[in-house]
Amino acid sequence: MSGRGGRAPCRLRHMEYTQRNRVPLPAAGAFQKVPLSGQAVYDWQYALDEQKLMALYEKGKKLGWNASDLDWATPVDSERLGAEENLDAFMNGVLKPPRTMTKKDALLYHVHTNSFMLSQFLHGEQGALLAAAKIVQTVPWEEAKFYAANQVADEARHVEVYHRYLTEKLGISYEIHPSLCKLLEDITSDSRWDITYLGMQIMVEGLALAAFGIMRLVMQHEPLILDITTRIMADEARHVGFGVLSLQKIYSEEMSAAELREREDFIIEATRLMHARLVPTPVFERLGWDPKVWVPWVESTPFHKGFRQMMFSKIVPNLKRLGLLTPRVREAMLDLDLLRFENDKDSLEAPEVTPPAELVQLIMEGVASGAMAPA
Amino acid sequence: MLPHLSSKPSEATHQVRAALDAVFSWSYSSEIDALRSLYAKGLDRQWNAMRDLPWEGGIDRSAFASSFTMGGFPIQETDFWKTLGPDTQWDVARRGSAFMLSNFLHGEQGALMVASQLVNAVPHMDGKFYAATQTLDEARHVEVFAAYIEKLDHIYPIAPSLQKLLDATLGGDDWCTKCVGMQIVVEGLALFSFRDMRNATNEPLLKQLLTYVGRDEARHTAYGIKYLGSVVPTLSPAEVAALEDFAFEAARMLLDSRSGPTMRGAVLERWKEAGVDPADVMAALAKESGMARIVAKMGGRRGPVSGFVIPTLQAIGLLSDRIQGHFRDMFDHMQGIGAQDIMGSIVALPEDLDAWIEDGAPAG
Repeated sequence: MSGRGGRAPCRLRHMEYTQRNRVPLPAAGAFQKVPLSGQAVYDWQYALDEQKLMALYEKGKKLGWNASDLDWATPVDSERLGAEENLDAFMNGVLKPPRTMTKKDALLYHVHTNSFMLSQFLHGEQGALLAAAKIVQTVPWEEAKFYAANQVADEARHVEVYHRYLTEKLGISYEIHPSLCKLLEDITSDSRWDITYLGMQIMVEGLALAAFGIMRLVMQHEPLILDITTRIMADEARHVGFGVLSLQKIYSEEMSAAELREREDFIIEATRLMHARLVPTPVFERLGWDPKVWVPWVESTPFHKGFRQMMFSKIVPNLKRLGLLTPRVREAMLDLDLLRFENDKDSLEAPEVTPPAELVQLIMEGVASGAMAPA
Repeated sequence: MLPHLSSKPSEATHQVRAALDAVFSWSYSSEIDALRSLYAKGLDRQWNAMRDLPWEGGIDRSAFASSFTMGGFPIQETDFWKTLGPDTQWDVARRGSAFMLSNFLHGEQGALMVASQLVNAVPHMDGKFYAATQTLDEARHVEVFAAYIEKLDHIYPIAPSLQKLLDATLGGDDWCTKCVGMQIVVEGLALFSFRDMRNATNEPLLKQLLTYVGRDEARHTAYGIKYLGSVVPTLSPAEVAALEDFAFEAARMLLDSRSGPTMRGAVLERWKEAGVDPADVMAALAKESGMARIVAKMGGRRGPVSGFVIPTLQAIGLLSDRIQGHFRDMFDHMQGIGAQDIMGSIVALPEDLDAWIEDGAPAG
């Protein structure tokens, strides 16, 4: 160490950018309080001998990046990108909407569903920031506290990046979807520390990982979001791995039947919530398209169904690894046709996500025809 | 494969019930510019515990033993110290220091959890972002202190008075209270003590370690000053008074943790472990010819409360006449310290905390 003289020039000013729009606030206002129950736990052993967790912590530190590393000068004009391509042909040909979409309709739908999804990423990242912070307090091993601390810093950066992208680059954003809000509230307020892990690291981050996989496929022509997604995806893959590593023996070896049943209930409810309710109703409301007509379309089209199932492609194998794909959970997954992922690789075998072949094919058709963003 | 990763708390844990509200902030906009800049600084000044410190060189034992500090008393300047052989000197130094550093370590673990509580509880996105980098800083501090202590001795249990202070901060149900307890009182103590130890030691690894850690702590204190400094003027008189009371109680616990009988007993216990009878130590020091000179030299020295915490409270508007009276009464009751009117001459905070860490000037 060379003292202060040897330091690299310092970025003391934060990134400044013009917000074209403010993120709209939910009806209940700018702040939402969620009572945190649970206990802060000190670990006096400081054993620091859990090598796999320590290795993950080291990896997290080495791979740390800053929001300022991204090329924010990249112009993003999704309207122009969309307008030059045959979005309407793809929408009408493949997605078969309730009424024929004009060029303008298709463009609006594309731009708004994209902003809607990215906005939910932003809000989900804030949930992850608060949940990871809670894990620092409640997890009883120092190694896991270290890693969770690293994750806290990651999540702050993700919030920073999505906020800038949405407000400076896209200029359109959405408030948090009520179902996502309910899920985040449940996860952060639960007093059982493993539920925070299970909810955030396995369910929400698992879902995000799959969503990022799709984002990367469909946004191939937009280098900035591609760069953002690739970086964040690598972070999230580590976070999911952290969850799996931390929890892997608890459910299979330690919990009583009654305790396990509570976890099953949690998983089943979270799955149903994420599967059935995360449809972009607010987009139709904002566009003035009747949700009673358009929501059933999103719920029933094979393409959209495949897309929603894809969101569980990492969650299911990770639950299996944790010993949580019990008969009750299997039955619930079967109902939603999600058991097809049970033999896929989990996050310890393959950290990132490969979308199922049939979906890739559909998306590639869309990309080839010029449409970039299925909902 | 994972022997101690159990969901059941083991005996090696200590649990504190925290009734706290997490706050989601849905506007995301930057509202407190000074905090956003501090976040950028925090990101810029990250370092890596294993990569950036010279661990491979180990500890320079003779440098360590000749320049260690135990509660500020310069034992190396006594004739008695010179009668001890180098092996005993090293043994006393390493055990006593491991005891002090263990409490730094435990304080850092408490700070790790309080920083993460601030991520949950502060209402401004700027405040959450900054607290996120502080959480990462604190994990690194736990890491380096645990690794350094391992080279000296073993980790000693936390001093009860420090535990009490940390628990009061962790268990508080309001973010301003936590911010006062951690960012002003605990971080103030840490910054002051780490700087003391940094300036005293000639052991290269420890000096570098404390320089890095001290720079982080300077930022943590700056966060408390900037955040509370902008929030306190918006609070009601009753809320301000409650924060002042908490700060005063925390400072009192902190003084207990440094000069309480259990702490002194614990330090003497380390002498015993090194094979020196504590009674002999006390007897030898009583006969020490240069004692008057050493005590006189220490006399003008301020501790972390009078030298740092009180000036910080003044800077953020939490030092009313009422609470100054409480501090005055407390110092009057503490023999030896009441002799000088601490409250009559509150020192100024260093203008540049970063530079202060490394300037080597006497504290206070």
